[in-house]
Amino acid sequence: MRVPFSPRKIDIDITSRCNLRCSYCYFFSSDGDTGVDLPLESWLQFFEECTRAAVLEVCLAGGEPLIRRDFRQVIEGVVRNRMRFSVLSNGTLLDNETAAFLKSTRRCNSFQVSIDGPGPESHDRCRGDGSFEKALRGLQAALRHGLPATVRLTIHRHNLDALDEAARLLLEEVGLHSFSTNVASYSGLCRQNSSEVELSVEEYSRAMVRLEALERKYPGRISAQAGPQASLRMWRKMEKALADGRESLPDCGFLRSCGGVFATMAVRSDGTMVPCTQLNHIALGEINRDPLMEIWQNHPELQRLRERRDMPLERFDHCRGCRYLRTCRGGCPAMAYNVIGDENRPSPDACYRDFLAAGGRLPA
Amino acid sequence: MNLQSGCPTANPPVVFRRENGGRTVLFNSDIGKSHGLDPVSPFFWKMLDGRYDAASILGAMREECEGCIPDTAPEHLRHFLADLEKRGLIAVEC
Ligand code: SF4
Ligand code: SF4
Repeated sequence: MRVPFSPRKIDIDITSRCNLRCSYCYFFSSDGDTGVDLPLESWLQFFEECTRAAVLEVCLAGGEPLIRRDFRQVIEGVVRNRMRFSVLSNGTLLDNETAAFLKSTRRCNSFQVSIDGPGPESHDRCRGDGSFEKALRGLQAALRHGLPATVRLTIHRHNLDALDEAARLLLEEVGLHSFSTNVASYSGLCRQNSSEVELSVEEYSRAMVRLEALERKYPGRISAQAGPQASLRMWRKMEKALADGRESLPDCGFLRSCGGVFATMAVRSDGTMVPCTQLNHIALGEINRDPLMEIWQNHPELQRLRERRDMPLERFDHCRGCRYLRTCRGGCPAMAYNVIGDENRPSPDACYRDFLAAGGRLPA
Repeated sequence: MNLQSGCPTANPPVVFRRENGGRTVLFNSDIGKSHGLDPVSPFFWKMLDGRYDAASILGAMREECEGCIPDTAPEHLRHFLADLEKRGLIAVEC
């Protein structure tokens, strides 16, 4: 796979602070949680380098990006440097004024708010008292001002049975065109609270049933790149290939789930460049000290991650003899690192054979 | 606006970018859309800074190619500029 001259997009943890402490937050207690926030000037200087490298978009996350008092100046810097932006937010700090400002820039690709359920009972359980009302208010402010607002719903033990109601709220009452789902997974604070929030195999199977029914009810309006809905899509494909007597699927049989390192890079809140916000333990260099293009094109750690896609699954003891060997892609490298401490192996959370062996079932 | 005598300038929100395999695009960050370029056009694009008119761009190309530019180059440049102007990617300054 060819690598462009520079990353198209850079994911930036613009702060390591947040007004909430969600019990499954991937960020806090991860290597990205540095406790250091670079000053505005450093980001503005870096944005100038991004422009010279023809980076087209930054995605601002954290922590909670809106907690920065100079958030507007950060956005103005992005705009001045001819880039577009997305924001990943818990929504609780978005007011009318900020929403109007973001809209006025004409550069916002998406403003994502996290909403985990149809009400405080399911949402606040992991995100903290009062957070549902504030997040919903933030989402409504975004919509009122015409921002391209989206919602990410993270599935955990305490909202699993509220998915239908959550979909009804978001798609019918609030009037979103679509939203996406994912799952509380073994990283950051979730590692400490795993038994409290992570789905068991039985619950994961139930989530797939619910999500499949919802996809039927709201065609094309609920998406996922990770979690039960994404697993279901992949695992169904694998089953179908075998049922049709096909030995392999395109781009499978190797560690090929992640294309991120071919288009995107990330920066931690302390200015350390990393391959991805989820692989924030791999330090590639410092912004404004090490040249972005040089890192992107030549850093050995990035090359190593790019070469991952040429690693056949049969190389791994765990996969040898698996009937899905040529229809599997091995899952996310960051999850592999979080669970087994090695990003160059198949990720246990994406292993369909293990899921079945533990009693998991796809919807009938 | 006269593309023959005027000096075209790239509009500020437009970014020139090299993609995989050397393919080049112009990205209008105000609307989030990319426009693919053919292999010759990046040469023209780099001269759209408000200082050169069509004749001087062709002159520079002739120099770069040691005199042998294709007969179709003027027409190619005219099309290129008209297309970019239609797409709001350039303005003509003088
Ligand atoms: S998940 Fe998001 S909102 Fe919750 S503590 Fe982490 S950064 Fe803050
Ligand atoms: S053992 Fe798991 S990860 Fe390996 S090929 Fe089979 S399903 Fe995929």
